[in-house]
Amino acid sequence: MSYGIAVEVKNLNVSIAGKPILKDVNVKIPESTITAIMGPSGSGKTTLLRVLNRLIDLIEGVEVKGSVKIFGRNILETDPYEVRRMSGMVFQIPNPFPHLSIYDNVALGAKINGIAKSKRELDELVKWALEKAMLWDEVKDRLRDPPWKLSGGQQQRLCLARALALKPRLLLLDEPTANIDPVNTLKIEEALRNLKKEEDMTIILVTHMPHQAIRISDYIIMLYEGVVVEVGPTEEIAINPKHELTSRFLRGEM
Amino acid sequence: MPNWRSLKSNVFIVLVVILALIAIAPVFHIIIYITLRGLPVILEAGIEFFISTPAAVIAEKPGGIAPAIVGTLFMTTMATIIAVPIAVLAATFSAEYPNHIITKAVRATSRSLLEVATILVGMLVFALIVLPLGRFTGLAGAIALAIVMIPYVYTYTELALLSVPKTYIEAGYSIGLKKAQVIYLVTLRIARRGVMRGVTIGVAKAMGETAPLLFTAFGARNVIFGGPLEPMDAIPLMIFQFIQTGFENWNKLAWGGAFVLLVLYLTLFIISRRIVREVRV
Repeated sequence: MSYGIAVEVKNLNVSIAGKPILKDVNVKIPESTITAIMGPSGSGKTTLLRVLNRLIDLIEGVEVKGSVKIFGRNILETDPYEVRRMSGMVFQIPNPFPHLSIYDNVALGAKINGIAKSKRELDELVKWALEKAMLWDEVKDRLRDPPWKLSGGQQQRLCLARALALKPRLLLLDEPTANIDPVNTLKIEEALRNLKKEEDMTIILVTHMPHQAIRISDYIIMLYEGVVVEVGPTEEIAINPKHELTSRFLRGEM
Repeated sequence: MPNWRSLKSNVFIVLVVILALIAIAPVFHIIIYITLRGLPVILEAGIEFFISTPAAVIAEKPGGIAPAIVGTLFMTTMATIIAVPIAVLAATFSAEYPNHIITKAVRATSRSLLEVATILVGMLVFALIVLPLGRFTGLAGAIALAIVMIPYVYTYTELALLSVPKTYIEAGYSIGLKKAQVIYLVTLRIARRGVMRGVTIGVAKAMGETAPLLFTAFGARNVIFGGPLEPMDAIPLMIFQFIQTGFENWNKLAWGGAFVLLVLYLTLFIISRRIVREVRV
């Protein structure tokens, strides 16, 4: 295991249509860790996450200033399509491609990006991704089914598998369990812990559930109105939050 | 004591059912009437109806409408081949860049084309293609039909593309797809039923048009297929011309043609529903 820096954000300012969303954000995220980005609605959590894979570029009138390095590469000066291939993303609402089978949902990204060269490699990769997403046992006999036959929680794990099929070193999750039942939530959390341990993945997850952040994260970034108000190891912040906003948030008062 | 509420409710239900029947009655009237007038003609003429040209007006049997059937199939197919790629590409551009100046221009043009009398389309093609070539041609007819089709296919495709939830598009980008790949592998695939609906309506529209063909394909009732650069017949054109004559045989052919057109429509709608499955979002 290495403990280099996976993500280094320096003086990041993001505005959309002239309105500032993130103000002077500076954070360093170590490799092979789980980091939770917390904060109330509208604090810029999702924006920060979407800068990391340049999905922010899809929004009209967005302006991004500063420097964001992922594994040493300044992604703001890299082709956005290449940046997106470096990381996997899971969204707030399960969004498996409705026109593709369970298998093809996982396989599409790997196929397009040339990650699997042969049919056998692809089969193995799909199996690996579904296993890592803790979904393989439930779908191995019906890989050709459309995703709407799965429950919401299964669909979200399918989305996790789709992201993993890119073999990313960085995994981004935007409130992945906000619309999921408790059993599936725990499964996804377990999958994330294993990915960190077994695959050395760096995981960044946006959450507004303080309990979830405490359960699985190593570091917490607390955002409020576009400003990082506190950042540090989860144990320290959970026991002894330095900032009034953080303690209120952890107590569920925000 | 009478139950006024349930009485009132029942009266309204009966009223709504009657009104609904009145509203759809014309559809059944058309189907039944055309079948009653058209089917006997085809039975009388036999296979000749589909493979030969119209008989002389004083002949014993009416003959057939092969030139019109072949012409309709040829020109509709050509029109579809011309119109669908143009319309789908334009719709893709519009959905991708909704505020672009080109989008606004295309949308306005398409909307006015939907409203314009189709005979004007025929006159436009007459001026642009028929006059320079110096003759009426099936190709000119196909181009006129394509111009009629484009705004339908465009409008339906654009709507279908815009109704694809953004989250799937984002998911496409998140796994490293390029813009063209997102459009082709995600958006168009999810919207396929809507695109097909637009194509179906466009084809139906083109198949039933008479006016755009008057100055372009013109009609050729005695040649089954003379090639794309010759005048060409079409079923609606044939109906329009034959029903106005006083000859019994030709009136019969017109009714038989109407029945063929009806069957073509039903086949078109059934096939288009069958070959493209709905994507459940």
